Amino acid sequence: MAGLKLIKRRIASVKATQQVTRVMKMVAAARLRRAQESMMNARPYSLTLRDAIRDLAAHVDASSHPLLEVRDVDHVGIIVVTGDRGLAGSFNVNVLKRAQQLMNENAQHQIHLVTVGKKGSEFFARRGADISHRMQGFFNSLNFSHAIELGEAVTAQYINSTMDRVYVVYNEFKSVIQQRVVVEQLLPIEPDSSVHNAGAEIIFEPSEIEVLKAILPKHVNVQLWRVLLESFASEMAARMTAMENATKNAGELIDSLTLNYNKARQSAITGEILEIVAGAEGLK
Amino acid sequence: MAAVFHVELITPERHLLSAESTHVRAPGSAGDFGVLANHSPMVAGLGPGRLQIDFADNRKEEFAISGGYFTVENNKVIILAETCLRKSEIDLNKARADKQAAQQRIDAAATPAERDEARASLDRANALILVADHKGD
Repeated sequence: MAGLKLIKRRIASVKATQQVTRVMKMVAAARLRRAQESMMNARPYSLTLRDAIRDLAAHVDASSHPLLEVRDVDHVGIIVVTGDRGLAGSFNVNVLKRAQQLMNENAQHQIHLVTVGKKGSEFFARRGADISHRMQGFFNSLNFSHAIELGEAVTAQYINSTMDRVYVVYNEFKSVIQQRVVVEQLLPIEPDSSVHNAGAEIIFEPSEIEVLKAILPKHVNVQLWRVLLESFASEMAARMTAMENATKNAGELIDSLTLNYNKARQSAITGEILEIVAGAEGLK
Repeated sequence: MAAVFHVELITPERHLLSAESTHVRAPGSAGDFGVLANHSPMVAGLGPGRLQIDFADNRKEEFAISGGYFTVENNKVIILAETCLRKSEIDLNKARADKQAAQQRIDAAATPAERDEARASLDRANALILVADHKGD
């Protein structure tokens, strides 16, 4: 009988876990819908702006603005975008692995990390890496001002040469079941190499300097905004999938435990009947 | 039939428009300008104001924008607006209320940054009113 009680207790505990994973899945699904919508809306603007800027960069001299300036690389900045919380499948692990790989590739340079999300900051703090700026705990109220904060922090470090090149590592949202880790170079802004008439004159209104001064820092913020949205949507999608699997696994576990429970109960009953029969036989 | 060119109008929130046009009039940060087909490559900053697009099918549409960028290259115009409302979407009463509030904020501003911020929202409200009141030509 002790075995029976034990199995029953396990079933109850797995059921409680399943309830939690099911709720987490539903929460992630609801957030995902919103995150995906804002990401889809932000994409055309930021990608068009990126194309326009890279095209523009091919036409102007790299010395016309600090953010276009290509320097010898001593210091590499890496922005690692993770989530604040785990339980999202391989979402955080994949980004951290890729970031680690990128750090190894740049081992000959000084590396400065910018971590976005608690997971990344904890991971690199444990390894004693140099984290020059960290942002966390804001994804639930994500808005453009966070992209501005991140953009300004990075731009400032680029301009005062504490970083000579800046990469950003994040999860790109492909679909609900697929997220892809990508590495993009944020700074210096890379000119579009496919532009043929690179020497052609562009008219600037009001002036080249004015336009670049206004548009380039904004471009950085807009790109980071898209990155944050992509990452957040990916996190929600990854969590939803992970929690769906967990709920399914819990269900299977409950089924097999229930089977064991029934078997144990049946054999207990059989045992009791045998005893009774044997007792009755003995009385004859 | 005037020569046509492609125009895209995009804001951070939505992809508003992708169409063929014959003439675009935009509020440049250094004054309004117009663009026809085969314009030389140009990049311009936009201020708050009225944007008018004449479509290839002779329709016209007006928009109020709060600022942004305008690029033209190879007969393709891209307008990246920070915010943009179609004329039909403008709430004139709200714009007037915003204008009044902005004026009060300018008077009450304690720091230059606050005043600039209030001026910017005054300009945005004025742009909305300008477009909503415009009778068309």
